[in-house]
Amino acid sequence: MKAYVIKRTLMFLPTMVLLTVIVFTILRIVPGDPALLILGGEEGEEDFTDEELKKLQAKLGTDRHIAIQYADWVISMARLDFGDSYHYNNPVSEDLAQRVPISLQLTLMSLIISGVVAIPLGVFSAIKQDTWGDYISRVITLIGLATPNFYVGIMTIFLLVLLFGWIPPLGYVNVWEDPWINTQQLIFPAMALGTSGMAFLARVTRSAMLEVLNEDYIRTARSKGLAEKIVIYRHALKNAVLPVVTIFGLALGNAASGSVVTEIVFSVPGMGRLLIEGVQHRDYPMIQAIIVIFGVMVLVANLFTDLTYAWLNPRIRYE
Amino acid sequence: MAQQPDSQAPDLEFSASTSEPLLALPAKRGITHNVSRFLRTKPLGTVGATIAALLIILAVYVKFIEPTVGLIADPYKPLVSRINVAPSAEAWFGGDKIGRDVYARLLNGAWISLYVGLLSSFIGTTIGMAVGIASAYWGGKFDLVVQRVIDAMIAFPGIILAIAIMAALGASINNVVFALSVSYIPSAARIIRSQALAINEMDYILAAQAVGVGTMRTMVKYIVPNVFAIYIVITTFHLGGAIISEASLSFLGVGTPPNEPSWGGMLNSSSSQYIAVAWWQPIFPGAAIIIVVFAWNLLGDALRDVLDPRLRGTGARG
Repeated sequence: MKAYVIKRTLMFLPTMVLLTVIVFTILRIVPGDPALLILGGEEGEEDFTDEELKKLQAKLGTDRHIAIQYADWVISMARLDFGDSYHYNNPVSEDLAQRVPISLQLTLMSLIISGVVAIPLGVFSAIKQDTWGDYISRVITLIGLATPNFYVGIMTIFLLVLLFGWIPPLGYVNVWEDPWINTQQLIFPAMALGTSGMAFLARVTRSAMLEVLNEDYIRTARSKGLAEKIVIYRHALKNAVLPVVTIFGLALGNAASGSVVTEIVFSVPGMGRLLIEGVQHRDYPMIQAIIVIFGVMVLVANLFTDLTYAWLNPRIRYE
Repeated sequence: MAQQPDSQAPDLEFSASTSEPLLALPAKRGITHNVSRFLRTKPLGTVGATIAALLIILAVYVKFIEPTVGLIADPYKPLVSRINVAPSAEAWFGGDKIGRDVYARLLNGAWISLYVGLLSSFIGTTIGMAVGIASAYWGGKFDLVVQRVIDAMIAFPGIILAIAIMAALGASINNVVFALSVSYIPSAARIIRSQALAINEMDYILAAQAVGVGTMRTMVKYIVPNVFAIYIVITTFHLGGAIISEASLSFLGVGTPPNEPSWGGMLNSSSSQYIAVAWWQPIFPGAAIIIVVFAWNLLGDALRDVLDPRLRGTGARG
């Protein structure tokens, strides 16, 4: 186990470095010198002199070699300094400190909702394989997969207005300040976001469960006369949960990516809203920081998943 | 059905009496046989294939034939008299908030969805296949480096990588194709690499190398045909995913430019605040996306069952 933990953790670092290289290439090298972008204005229409450009380049540090700029950027990020926003003119880290917890809360709530619904649904579908219940749940999950989550959001708002003449309170109130308002604000976005995650998770659970139910030890358990309930809950489910654990990183990533769209639909002032506003204002330090945070979040989740999986599954631990 | 209980009996007798040599190899089955078997054994897949075919016909029609025929309204032209009007005989699916015909924009959106979906899933999966095969074939340090790059690319969840690329390049249809293609490379490369690793161990690859077949030729002639089934399945799933991603990017305002009739863009301009007053603006494009992606996923599921049962449990994601 120890060797595996060390090996797996060591793999994490080069991947993280490559991740920052990718972000730097896409968002710093491709768009060009930020000094030009700032002086040119949002549409590139404004005039400026060479002297102004040189001054700004010196201030932003973009007159240095690109590799040094990269190193500088990565080292500052390691100290949680993401630079200053071009649009708001204040440190990106200040905005992020406010927004990241909101998105995190939304993402985790949606993950819990999809897990609570999807795992029983997948298990049900598997033990009732090829019955009407199975077909209905499979069609529901297929429709869930085919529905963009922003559309689920729009429809949720539509139904709330239609049925209750009510929309969730706008904005965001901290959960510690007023948990009731906070729940009203985030429960519907979390449900909308959880729907597509649910479909995916239910499908994975179903196929994992089906695979386990075909194993020899299940036949053995049945043939020695154990009650079907015990076979399913004690023997099958335990083993079927393993592959479901492995996709936690993937599910978290999908939920995080979906949260961007869901935040726009429900006007939740989270990280995703900040990202899209950043894209609209060509606010590259902001975009870079948020994209890196998304990537690192998934890498950490994957590391955590792999280690949990190794801990749960002795075959990997002792390899 | 009850009145013809013995309708199958003559058939059985007939087939039993045909004299076929007992030890003959089964004849190589033609494409017609395979297609007809698919239609018989995979009813849901057939439904998916039919809807997918209809989408292709519609997309080709609106792009190439409609401009010369002029049966539907101009999807770009705003009319003051059509602003937010409900569905009627003149505008079947109503008008949008600046007075364009929703029906015309919906039909024209089929072309954009298919163009983006087909092109990005094809380009992304093809490059992914090339990377996966090369990585498996050469192995060693090359494989190690490529795998770390793929790890890093796969870490950007869902449409995040595409949003970053769109932020750098700006909104346009071809940029969406590029951004989505790039985001499909890593997952395709990873799946195909694992398949290609197994194929590398096969005797026929060793035989090819022994008689001096070149690297390029070995990959193209001997490995590609053996991963082709998975390639088709991945492409089909990515196609459904690409349609959702294009819609999501356009909804966020970082995808297809707002003037172009794309389904995601139509949902954006009518988004949540409009739904209570003008339900027809979001309902139709949303339904179109769901039906089309649902159809591609059904087709992908059926193709996977037929071509490669090992991929069970994977599905298209937006």
